Amino acid sequence: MGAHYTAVGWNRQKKIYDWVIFAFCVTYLAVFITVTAFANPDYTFETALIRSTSTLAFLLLHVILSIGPLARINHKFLPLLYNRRHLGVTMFFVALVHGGFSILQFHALGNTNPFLSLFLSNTQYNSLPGFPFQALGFFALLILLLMAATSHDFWLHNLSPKMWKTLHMLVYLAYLLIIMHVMLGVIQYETSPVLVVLLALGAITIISLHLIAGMKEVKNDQVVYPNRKEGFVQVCHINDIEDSRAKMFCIGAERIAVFKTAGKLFAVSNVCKHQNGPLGEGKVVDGCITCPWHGYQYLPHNGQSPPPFKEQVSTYDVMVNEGYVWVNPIAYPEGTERPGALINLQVP
Amino acid sequence: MVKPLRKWHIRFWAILAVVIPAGMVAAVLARPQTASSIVLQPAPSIALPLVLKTISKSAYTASLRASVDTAKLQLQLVNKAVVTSPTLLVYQVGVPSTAATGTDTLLVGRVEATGTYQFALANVSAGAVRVELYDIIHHTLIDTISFTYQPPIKN
Repeated sequence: MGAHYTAVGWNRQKKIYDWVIFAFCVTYLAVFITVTAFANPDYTFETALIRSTSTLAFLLLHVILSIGPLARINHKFLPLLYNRRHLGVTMFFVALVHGGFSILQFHALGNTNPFLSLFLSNTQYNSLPGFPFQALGFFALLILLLMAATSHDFWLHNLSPKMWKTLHMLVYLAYLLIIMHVMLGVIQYETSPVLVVLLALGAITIISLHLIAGMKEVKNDQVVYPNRKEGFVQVCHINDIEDSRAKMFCIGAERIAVFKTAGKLFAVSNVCKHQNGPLGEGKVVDGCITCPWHGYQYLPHNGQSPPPFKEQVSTYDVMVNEGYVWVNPIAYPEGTERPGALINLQVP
Repeated sequence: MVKPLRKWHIRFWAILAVVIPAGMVAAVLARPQTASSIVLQPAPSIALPLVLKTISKSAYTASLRASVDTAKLQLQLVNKAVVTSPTLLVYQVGVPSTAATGTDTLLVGRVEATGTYQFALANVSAGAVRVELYDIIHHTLIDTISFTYQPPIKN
């Protein structure tokens, strides 16, 4: 959460996260290149670097694409989401080394401009086995560049969270391009089934995780709440909500999170102003609703971030009747103070 | 994510769940049938004892080697120069076509760097073996090596 743009303060968790990423990448590259040097001493360093960075970037991409759905399926994975952007930028730089050295090694030795050579040295665009697979990798790298360049909160704020999130969903297209880059590249002259099997296992895992998480979200959005009275909708029993936690209900255009804290219930928009994270999956920390993704905070009774921060979310009327929670899905303007609903006095 | 993005998200992955496997299967099926050797990490092999023919060029020295009974043929390629086409594949041309391969071309190996390579060749009609060096990235024929030799007289 930031009132203005300043250098990010690295807390202990961020430092540990970054050091783990750094140590893993260095270890992976060192092991890969060392094993290659001993197993195939005639290979050049450039060849070993191109191969090691390609496999490392692809592995990191699988980890990055797994974090989102895993966090939605099981909240224990939420800490991985905290610094996912650092992992993404790291992956981009590793992929950039792969792409840069590949262009140098494969296209920089002739008279043609290397980038022209990339697209024109093989023009079999109408052939599947002969397809210029390097072009696919190039466009995937462009997408990753766009994402890495806009990963800062400055762009998030200026593009709007919805546009930023839409833009960053292009990573799924990049994943498809990279899969085909490999399948129409090395797989075309490699008959060992190992690579194909690894690729297939990776793709099955990523696709399954996203479909499972997506269907879970759709199921939550499609729950029908039949009991309605005077604009209010009965959503659950008060005991269904843990203290300092929330439950989310999709009873209008967007989900509403109903929090139980300090003996009261408060209803706010489920959508965090930062990256549209699910506030209802967070908890109340120091009296503030805290987003599980990046720790943005809001006061339960008015949806405002505590000063000096400026973010605000919509609030809703909530009441308790005979132990059941009722919510009015008509939103108040962002930051509007609402009294909430007392719990103890009304529990039968 | 907001509701519209959640919808787009699952639609996108439903499409990818079809497109990615279809693309992978198509790419595997489209692989040239000539790829009959494992070339990513070629297993080291020992040079066969007989040298039937040697061709020497500035970039490489190619020898056609054979077993004592000439039942097995082998290409020994001593690559002397830095490979500027890192996806340099070695094909044997003119091998007997079978129903399985449907082609007279056989992928026998891959040259990655300077050094000595030995690749097993298919035994063809005596006296002529033709090998092509091919850059799969640029789809360019780099060189053709033709061995013509007098087979040893069998007792």
